[in-house]
Amino acid sequence: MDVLMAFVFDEYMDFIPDYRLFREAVNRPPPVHVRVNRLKARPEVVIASMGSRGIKVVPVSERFPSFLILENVSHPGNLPEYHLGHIHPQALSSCLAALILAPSPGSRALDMCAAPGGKTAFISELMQNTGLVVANELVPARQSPLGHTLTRLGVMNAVVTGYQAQEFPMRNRFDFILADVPCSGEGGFRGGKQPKKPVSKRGRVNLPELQKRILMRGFDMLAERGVMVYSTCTYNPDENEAVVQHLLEQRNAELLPFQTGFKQESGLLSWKTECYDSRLTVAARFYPHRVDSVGFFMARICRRN
Amino acid sequence: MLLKTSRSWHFLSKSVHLEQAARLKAVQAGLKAFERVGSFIKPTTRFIQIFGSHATKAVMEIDKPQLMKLLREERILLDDDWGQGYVILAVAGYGVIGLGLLVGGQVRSQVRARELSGLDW
Repeated sequence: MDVLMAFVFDEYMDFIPDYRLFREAVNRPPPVHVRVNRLKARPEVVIASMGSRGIKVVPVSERFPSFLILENVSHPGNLPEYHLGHIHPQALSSCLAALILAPSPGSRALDMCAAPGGKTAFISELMQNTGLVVANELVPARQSPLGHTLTRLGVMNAVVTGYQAQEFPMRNRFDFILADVPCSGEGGFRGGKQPKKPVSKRGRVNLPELQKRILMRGFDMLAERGVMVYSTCTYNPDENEAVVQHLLEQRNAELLPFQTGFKQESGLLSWKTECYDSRLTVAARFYPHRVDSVGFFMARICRRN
Repeated sequence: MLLKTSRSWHFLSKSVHLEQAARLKAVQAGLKAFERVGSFIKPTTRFIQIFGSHATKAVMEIDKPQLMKLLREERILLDDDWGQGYVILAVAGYGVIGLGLLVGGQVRSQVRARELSGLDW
């Protein structure tokens, strides 16, 4: 294992269960996961089509026939099914964020940091292309691939905007909000993929501070009975539990329990010298040795009645 | 509903929430369905991939060898007289892949070549 990476993750060995297995999983590349896009295709048809060409397709679970592992494909973007918008390469744990959000058809949804668009498109799919999805992405260079992803996948209920997530216009209200915030991305460090900056600061950007501002703004735009999901692909509690803790201290927010059907660990109650609200146990951590995918943290949030 | 810009038309799902969307500074809205190409109005590849399967005419089904020829030579010579204009290209086993343009007894793919040629068909 890379010395730098070992150092980063060893800092978490006290709370990552079966740490040796975790390190082994980090050293392996993740499987090639794709999601069948039900806006344009049916899983059984896609599986049959790819299977007829010798592609080994394994559904991740019986409960989710749209989530597939392609065992002998390294670049799913080269498959015709990708061009046709029938599949989207997307880590399994990444798909779970939209599932946990569970947006209902006809509602108003906001994806605050939407690029590259896989989660947004899945939100649209769950809403059956009805209602309104606002896909927000600040960085112009990321708006174009976001737009292409949504178009390729046949999304027709989305509007792309380019606001700073933490300053999204307050006059708007949404029934479902996904805040999949910029993070240090540690969960994606697998199979030799090197961290660019394995710390919680990117240049002059203090990630936890930015994450707190985005989460707070998202919560303030939540409709009365709305649901919000805060997610990161990092293990760092400063970017996860500490950010949600900040929300719980500053707003009348509540955390909602959820089960995904995949192995998940509870949110932490303490780390180093920090102690977190006991409600954070209903947040979830996804580790690569438990769910063979990218590491993630997710919290499901609503207004407290 | 159909939104119009200077050169294109976009499909956006009709919703009671569109008024809220109208207050936002949008970079893109819905799915680009048609675009103006010269004096023609051309359906987009993505639009045709979704709605092409409902077409009852101007659908050209090609097999895999014909597709390979189309990708290699960028055109296929036709035996029958199909006339002129756009046709929906469907490939056996995959369904609608996009549009073709009939000109002078041959069909040319209107899908960007780089999108199709690098694929593992």
